[in-house]
Amino acid sequence: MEKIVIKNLSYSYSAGNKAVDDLSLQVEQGSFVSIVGHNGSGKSTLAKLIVGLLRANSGEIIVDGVQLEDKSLNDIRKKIAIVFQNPDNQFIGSTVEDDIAFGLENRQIPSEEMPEIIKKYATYVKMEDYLKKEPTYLSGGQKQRVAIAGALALKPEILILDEATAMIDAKGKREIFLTIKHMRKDNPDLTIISITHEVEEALLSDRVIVMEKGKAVCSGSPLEVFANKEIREKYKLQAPFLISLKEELKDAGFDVDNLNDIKEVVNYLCR
Amino acid sequence: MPININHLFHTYLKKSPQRVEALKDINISIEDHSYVAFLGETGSGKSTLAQHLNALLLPDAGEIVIDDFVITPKKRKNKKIHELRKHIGMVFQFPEYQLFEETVEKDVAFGPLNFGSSKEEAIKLAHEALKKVGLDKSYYLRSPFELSGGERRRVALAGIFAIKPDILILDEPTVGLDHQGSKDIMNLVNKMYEEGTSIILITHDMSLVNEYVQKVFFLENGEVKFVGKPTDLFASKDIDIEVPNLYRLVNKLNENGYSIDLNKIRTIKDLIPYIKEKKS
Repeated sequence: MEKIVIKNLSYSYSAGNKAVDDLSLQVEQGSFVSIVGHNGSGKSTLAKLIVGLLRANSGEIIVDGVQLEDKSLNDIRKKIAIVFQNPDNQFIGSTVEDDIAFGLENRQIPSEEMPEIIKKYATYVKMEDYLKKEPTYLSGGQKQRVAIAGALALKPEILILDEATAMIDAKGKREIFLTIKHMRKDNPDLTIISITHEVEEALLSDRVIVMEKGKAVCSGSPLEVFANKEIREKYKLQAPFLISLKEELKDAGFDVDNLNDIKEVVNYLCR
Repeated sequence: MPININHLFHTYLKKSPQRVEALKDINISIEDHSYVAFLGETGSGKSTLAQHLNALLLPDAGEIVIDDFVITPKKRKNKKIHELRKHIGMVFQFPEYQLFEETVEKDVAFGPLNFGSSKEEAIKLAHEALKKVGLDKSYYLRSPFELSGGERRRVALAGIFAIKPDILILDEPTVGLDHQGSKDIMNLVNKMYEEGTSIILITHDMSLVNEYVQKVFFLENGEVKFVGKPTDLFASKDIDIEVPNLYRLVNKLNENGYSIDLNKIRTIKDLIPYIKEKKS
């Protein structure tokens, strides 16, 4: 089933300069889709259009078969949680705890249930010792963790991550993606859209969509997209480590086409 | 300019029950013309430490000695701070949010003007700096707010380059940039380094560290846990970090009959001669 259908969507910040240009795409329910593309390709604008923070100039966004418009906006927003890149722009509560609670209040979660939910999701992102702290004194990465906990606590049907882990170290990123993996297991219908520059992160998704100049120019499995040198060069995408390694080895005259992971490469090189 | 930090302490919200001991007895020295990194998990104190270097934060105890400038807890004694800031450029996280002038040219010229350059001089320095970051004349009179994120970050960097700092501190300079944008920024930073500027990189991107940095300071809970070469950090058993893929690969190869000097490996290309030798 299609969770999100986008048809011929366009949006301009200023006349003549289309940030999203006649874009069409579908996102299957329960899938994990990464959207990649260089800065200015329209990825974040698309995310803002889907949650109704921006209003499209033309085209349609359909969530669960319902078209996004003024009267459906509230119902659709209830299904979606979004985490943005710059954590300073999304803090509301005066403490970490309040901040996570704010989203829950908006969804009318009974207040007696909140402490348990807050604790659970703060623990997921390893911020359980910071519940009483003021966000001002948290680091950028810690704020991102709180923002992610706040989004997960809402148990959304659709989770949108707009470079949500950019400021978290590699270990922390892995922990967060592990959490997301668990959440997908618990709830196979959870649909995830991740906007990211981190190719190793995009490799974890089911499908990668490449955006360029406001259009979806290419879509496929992570390997179909990233192992294709032509696509990478055309859209300035970074190669994952394994693929760079294989390409360098191939250029040096080694036959590595059939090697599927680092282990196999090591075995081959040490033979 | 050499930097010496002696017994530096910093606590946020000292009188509140929420107090945070952000830095605890930091002692480090950074030699003239070095390329170093402050590393550590989110919340380890690396950004707090960096903000002491140009006296944006003052220590609660201890001192920072940079050349002949001394930063101490007492505000009154720090008269030369304005002078010091001429020498130390700081690029914050998401610097593009700090642009404020009507035009790109004015924004970049602001620094030199503020530090006493004449208007013509400031404009000249601004043009030079913009050229360095790859923004041509057509950008001079545009508003920073109509540029893309990557372009805005380059404008912000040009604003720092224009003051020609002796020490350049960059807090997560490539966060949120695409692959090409990150590469461009790091190439610029390298250019600054080659021209004599000391670089202090705050990052959690170990592949950047592996590729560029000479010496790392690893912080944990406000204390310095490790000082040394990146490769020694990656090899250390006491420090829990995610090592770069390249480093992990070299280790595996060395366990299986190769003898590759880790210090000589910065990119995959550097490995090829070793592999050719082994496989021939």
